[in-house]
Amino acid sequence: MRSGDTPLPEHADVVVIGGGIQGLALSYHLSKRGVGRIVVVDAGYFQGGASGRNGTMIRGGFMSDAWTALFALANRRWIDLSRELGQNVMYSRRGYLLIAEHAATAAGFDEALATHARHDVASRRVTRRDLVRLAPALAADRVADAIYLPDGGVCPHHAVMHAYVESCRARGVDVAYGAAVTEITRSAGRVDGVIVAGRPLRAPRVVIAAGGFAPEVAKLAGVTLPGYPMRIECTALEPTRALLRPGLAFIDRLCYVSQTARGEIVGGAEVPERPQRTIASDLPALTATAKVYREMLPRVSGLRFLRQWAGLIHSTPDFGPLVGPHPVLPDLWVTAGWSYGFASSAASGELLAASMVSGTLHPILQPFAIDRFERNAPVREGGIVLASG
Amino acid sequence: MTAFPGDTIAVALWRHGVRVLGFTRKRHRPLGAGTLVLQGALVTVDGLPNVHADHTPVVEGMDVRRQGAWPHARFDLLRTIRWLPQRWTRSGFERPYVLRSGTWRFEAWERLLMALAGGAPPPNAPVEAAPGSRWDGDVVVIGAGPAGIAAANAAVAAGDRVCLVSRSPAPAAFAGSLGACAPPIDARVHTLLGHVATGIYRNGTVVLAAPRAPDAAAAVLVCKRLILATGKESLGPSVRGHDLPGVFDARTALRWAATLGSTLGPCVVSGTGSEGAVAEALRRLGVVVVEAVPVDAVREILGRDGVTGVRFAGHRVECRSFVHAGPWTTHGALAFQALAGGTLRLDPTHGNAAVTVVGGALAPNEAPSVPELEALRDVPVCSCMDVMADDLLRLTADGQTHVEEIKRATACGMGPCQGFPCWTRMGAVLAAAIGAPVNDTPSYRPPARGLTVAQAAALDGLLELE
Repeated sequence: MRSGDTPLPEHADVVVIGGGIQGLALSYHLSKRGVGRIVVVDAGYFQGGASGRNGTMIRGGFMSDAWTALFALANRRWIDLSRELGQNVMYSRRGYLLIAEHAATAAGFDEALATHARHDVASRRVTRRDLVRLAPALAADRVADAIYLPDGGVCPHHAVMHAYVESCRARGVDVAYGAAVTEITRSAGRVDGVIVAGRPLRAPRVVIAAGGFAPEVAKLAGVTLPGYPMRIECTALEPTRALLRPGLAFIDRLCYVSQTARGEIVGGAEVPERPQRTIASDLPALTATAKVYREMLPRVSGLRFLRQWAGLIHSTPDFGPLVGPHPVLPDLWVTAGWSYGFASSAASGELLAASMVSGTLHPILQPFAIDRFERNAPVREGGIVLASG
Repeated sequence: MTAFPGDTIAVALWRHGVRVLGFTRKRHRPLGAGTLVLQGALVTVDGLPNVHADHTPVVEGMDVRRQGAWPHARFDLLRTIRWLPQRWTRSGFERPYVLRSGTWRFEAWERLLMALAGGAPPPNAPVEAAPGSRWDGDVVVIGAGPAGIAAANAAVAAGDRVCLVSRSPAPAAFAGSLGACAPPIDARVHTLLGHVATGIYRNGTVVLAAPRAPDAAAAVLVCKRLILATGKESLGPSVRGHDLPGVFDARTALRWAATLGSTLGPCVVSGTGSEGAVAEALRRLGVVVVEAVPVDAVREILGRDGVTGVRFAGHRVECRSFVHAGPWTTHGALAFQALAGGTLRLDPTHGNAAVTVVGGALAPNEAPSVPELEALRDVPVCSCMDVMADDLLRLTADGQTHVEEIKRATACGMGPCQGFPCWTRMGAVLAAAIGAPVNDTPSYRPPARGLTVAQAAALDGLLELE
């Protein structure tokens, strides 16, 4: 959006590499906290990355304390985000159902409910009657147990991304798309800027918010990030009148689905993926999604697939994000490794901005520190819908 | 209602004077089944929504319902939306400024949108599809026109295992309707007629093809080489009324005229050189052709619920249908997918597709005929999602010119047609607005409404993970 109409400055206080939802949310909150000149540069086009390709589903409750603490705050922020940004983000608080089919998964739901309670996430176990009322299209006899999160919901990316980029620009943040960083420069062992579109841009702090490209961008600074780019696929069925009100996550099938306000049924089942840098979609993800729909939502079996598409995430060994200062290179900050990054952004941008201003990683973000694998402290989260090959 | 053997639903309804089958999403403008715009052809048949009225034969006792009307097709209150000021519906759906989320008003608005979304209730009963099939060979040819048949025959003669896929149930149907001959298909060619090649994967080595019936077996075709012989489609003039019921592309018009004869007309034919031949073919089938004119002569197609006339620079004529034979342009989806077009934006070194284009598809696309900016404003660009040229011009005036951004901001091309022909027209409007050619479209994504969930599920496991 409006790339290249004003030249980039030569100096900034913070350069954010990546104009997806993480980079924009962070920049918005940095600006609110008084950081002066902020420049966001992105090699691609507006909403071209995962922020414009994800399933748009948002929830506060997971299985682990670390994830739930972060996403509980994010969910609260989503509810109020239109007021915060002064723009309509179109967050639709329509509820979210976590669905277990296997007894073992259902057994974990007690613990999940306790976790949710500890973090003030509204959630409850759903009776069979409740389930039929909340999601009449669901094959209820296949469901062993379900948790309902009434504050969860969906948010169309085009609206929230537009709101963030407009809010950033209104606050004086420079946001440039089609501007590729080719080098992260250092001096005296610290970061001191980037080379973007062939020109140096000096900045005492640089943030990597590059989605699936984060490991590659880190190499430009001569450092590494754990993990690799991974394709995630999504599909949309042709629109029909309202069929699904809440979003659904089939934990045992690694599949999620919701219906947009336009009536399209959007979702995807994960197939085992390998590290790769492609956004070409593939047939197995389509047929796997169809198979889950046919069994769990039998009424949609006569509807047609409008389209399927893919996006890249940065997959880490525990699928958890990598947030905070880079442990090796001072003044290089990172918000990467996101798989649920669209949902988290409403909190992670704010918390990382606070951390950068104070110089100390916020307690909610500390479990996701970049060096956690070296410390042998991965975050175990059983309530996410992801698979790797 | 009565129908003749071989009538499709749309043809039978036309015989009874029913031209309006669907509506646009926001303005509730009427649409018909004669062109590439899919929304105008979708009806609910025996409780199954979005059945293509022009690809489905009439069956005794069939229950056919118009979609998008509320509360009833005969008493449609949504028609009143047409009288609202256009600015109310301009951005109101994609991103309302007034109704912000976090308020009860937004929740109520969103519920209303969902209640009216999609035009029809979802099916009540599940659909089971026949098990899918897999074919492994050397060459897949898409398109059974004269060029596709020749390419398939040549490949099979050279010893290749060849599969020929065509959406038409008969080979060389369009060429035949214009009096041209095609060679017979070599018996060694594996033919899938009546199958829509609906998605290309893995750099052109995997083709997804499915018959139009929602429960018929789909096919995965695995090959080493892909030949696209998909020909060209007529885009028609980009003027007011170009998506009215009663507007036909030449291919559909000739097919309909073969059964309807004189009841298709009287009509006006426009084109980019082939209008004379199309008019002649229509006349031979008994259709009254009032005028055959170059496409640029057409200023407006007139009518409220269907074509009633055409306005030219100096005069207007009355007619009941309008047939366009050009500008001719290739549907870009299959080539785009074969070349992994979306990934090319990400990584220009990606892609090494073994794809050959032959026949009409190889010819350069004719530029869409677009009027001056002032006359362009209320020309529909995407009929299904109701995106007008004015919506695009507002974005370009705001500095947004990237086709992918514009797609996301307006939903242009996100309806049942999945981008064709609207993205071609969108490119022409953007080019007119910014004064430079736009040689880019948003990403064409498979499977472009080509198969049902049941058909796709019946393919699961046939193609191993890469």
